[in-house]
Amino acid sequence: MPHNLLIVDYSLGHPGSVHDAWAFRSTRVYEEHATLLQDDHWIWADSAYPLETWCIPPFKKPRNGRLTKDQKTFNYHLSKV
Amino acid sequence: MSHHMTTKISELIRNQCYETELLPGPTMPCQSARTELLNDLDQAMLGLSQLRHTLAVEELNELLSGSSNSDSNSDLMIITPPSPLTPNISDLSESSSSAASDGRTNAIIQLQVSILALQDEIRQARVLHRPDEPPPRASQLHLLVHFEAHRPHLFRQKLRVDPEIFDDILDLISDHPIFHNQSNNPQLPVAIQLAIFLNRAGHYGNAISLEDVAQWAGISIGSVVNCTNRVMGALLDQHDHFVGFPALDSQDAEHARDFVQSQTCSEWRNGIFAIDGSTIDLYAKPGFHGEVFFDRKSKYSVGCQVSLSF
Repeated sequence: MPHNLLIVDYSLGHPGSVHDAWAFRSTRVYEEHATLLQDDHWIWADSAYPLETWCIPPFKKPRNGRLTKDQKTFNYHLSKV
Repeated sequence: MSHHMTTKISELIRNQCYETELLPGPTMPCQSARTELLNDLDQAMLGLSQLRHTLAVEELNELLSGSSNSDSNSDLMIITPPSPLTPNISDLSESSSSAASDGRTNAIIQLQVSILALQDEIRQARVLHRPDEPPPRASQLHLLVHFEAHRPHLFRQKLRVDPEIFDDILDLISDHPIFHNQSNNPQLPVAIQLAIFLNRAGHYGNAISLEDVAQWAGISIGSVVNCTNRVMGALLDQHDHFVGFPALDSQDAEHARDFVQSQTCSEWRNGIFAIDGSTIDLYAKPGFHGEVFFDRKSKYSVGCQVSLSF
């Protein structure tokens, strides 16, 4: 079932030089995640976002390092969400 | 009788003046109308001067034939007729001997004065410029009707939505009071206003200059702006119906969990939201704190963060 892709939250108007992760902090989801995302729900995000129990970005490649196979598999399936 | 003639001519000229200057007809260019009137007045002035000249000559002849003295003629003969275009009015008041010709000369002087007054009026009249011809209008909106039926991809290219979505949006905003003002000049149909808005909203920069949209829709630039603003107002009033956080125990949330599980696995079914950001390019560098808007892609933009649920 291709579901409706309802927009639930947004934040607008940060200058273009502001990084995603910082602009993220002004969204309602960030400030009210405790009430909006209870019962083990979470948000999928891309690698620009911070890792929280309620916000899941993909594994980031460490400097001079590599991702494990499991991490790659995780990221692969995350990108399919 | 001569006085009657005065009023008649000045009325005539005045009427012509009002007809062509103040209420210009669609085919009469104002600039040439002004010149034309001035030419007419010059002609009238010339005619009057010639008339005065004739009168003066007649008067002289009467004087010559009436009096036996012919020695003083040489002085009188030197009198020059007034210059036709710039008559010297004070010069006209020199009294002629006969009372009968006095009346006629006065009438002519009155006429000349009123002509001068009319010339002043015409020169000082300021008429807003009207283009010779109203710009032709050739709306291309009717193409959308054809696109909707036979070429939906062109419809989508122009308005950035499918015809069905267009109709849905139209149904949602048609009743909005902003489209129903109590004016004697009815607004454009809401469908056209929505089409103009969607076209503008879906394009960027040179592709969608006001002039181009105005020509595309066959309306004025001001109407393009008005339509856009009205539709935007009507759409924003629907904001809370379409943007809002769903309750996690709602039917929608359950659908979303099922969807995510079908795409991934049962452990991930609670990840029904996703977030990402994008920058929205600005048309130009902002005047205040412009550099702050310079982004990592070397453009000036504002940020936009969107969370959505599946």
